[in-house]
Amino acid sequence: MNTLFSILLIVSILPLIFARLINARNVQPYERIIVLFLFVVICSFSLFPLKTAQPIASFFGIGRGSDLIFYIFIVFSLLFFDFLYRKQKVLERRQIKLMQSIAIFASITDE
Amino acid sequence: MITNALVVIPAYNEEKNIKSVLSDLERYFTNIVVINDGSNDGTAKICQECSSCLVINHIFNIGQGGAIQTGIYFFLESTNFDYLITFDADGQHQASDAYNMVECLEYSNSELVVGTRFKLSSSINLIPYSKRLTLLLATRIENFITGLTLSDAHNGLRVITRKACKSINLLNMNMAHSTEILMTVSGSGHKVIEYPVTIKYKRYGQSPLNSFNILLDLFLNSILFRK
Repeated sequence: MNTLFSILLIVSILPLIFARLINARNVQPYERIIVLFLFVVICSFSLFPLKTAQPIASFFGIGRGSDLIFYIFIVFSLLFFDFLYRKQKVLERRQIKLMQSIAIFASITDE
Repeated sequence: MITNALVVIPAYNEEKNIKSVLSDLERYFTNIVVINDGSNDGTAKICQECSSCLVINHIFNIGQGGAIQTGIYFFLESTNFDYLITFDADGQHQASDAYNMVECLEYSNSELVVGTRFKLSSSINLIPYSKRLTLLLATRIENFITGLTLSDAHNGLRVITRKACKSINLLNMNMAHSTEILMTVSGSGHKVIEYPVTIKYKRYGQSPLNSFNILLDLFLNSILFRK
């Protein structure tokens, strides 16, 4: 029952996310981040229902199934923030390089 | 008069000091570039009035490291001078020191000369006590990171050869660029030396907390997220 509910949840939420991310033209970067973050959270919880997580947690000696889900959630969140930070840094460096080229070009042509 | 060097001055809201800095430099150098790093005061206007000075205007503020990198790009792509001098816009450096540093570099087999406040007793006495401890700690950490044995950290007055400039591609746009320059130049196998300089201290300056921010930026940009 839990698995069926998880699949239904993902199937119902996926079109909503894609509609919001792809079709909407005026989506702000922070909106994308929030939606993607929620997606990670929902997927983490849906794919590892407590009953399934319990034996895995016992195998690794973590404790309860909910603890395992919580740890996975933390790890995924950190990976997600790392990914975003790197992307933002790359974009920032490209912007700066572009601006530096424009500034040098403008100073030479003004001369 | 030195004609084979380019003085790069990163400037952000320095309308009170930039005029005196430029007139001091004009006595020794013929080629001066001010990188106006998105100032919203009269810095750019004052610099444009100076006949021997070229102004490169950043549309927005990116930090001292970014401004120096712009100067390095300009130096490598648009000039054929032998040396690049980085000089602070707040009036704490003296043009005579920069002149002596160029002469020192010409007669040495090194590629980078950095100014140091800790070689002359007259210069050491000018450093506020609160700053000495911070600088001592920063120097130790910087030496640990770069593998060099320098006596001063974060001194903005330095002379770099064209050869060494080619190895510099700064990722730190703020104050951590100072350590990054040392890291890249010494990491490329170039020799780094120090030259005693005198710093004229202003009432304002970096807080000790800022030193930790510099270290954090250096760790994030140069080590953890380099790619």
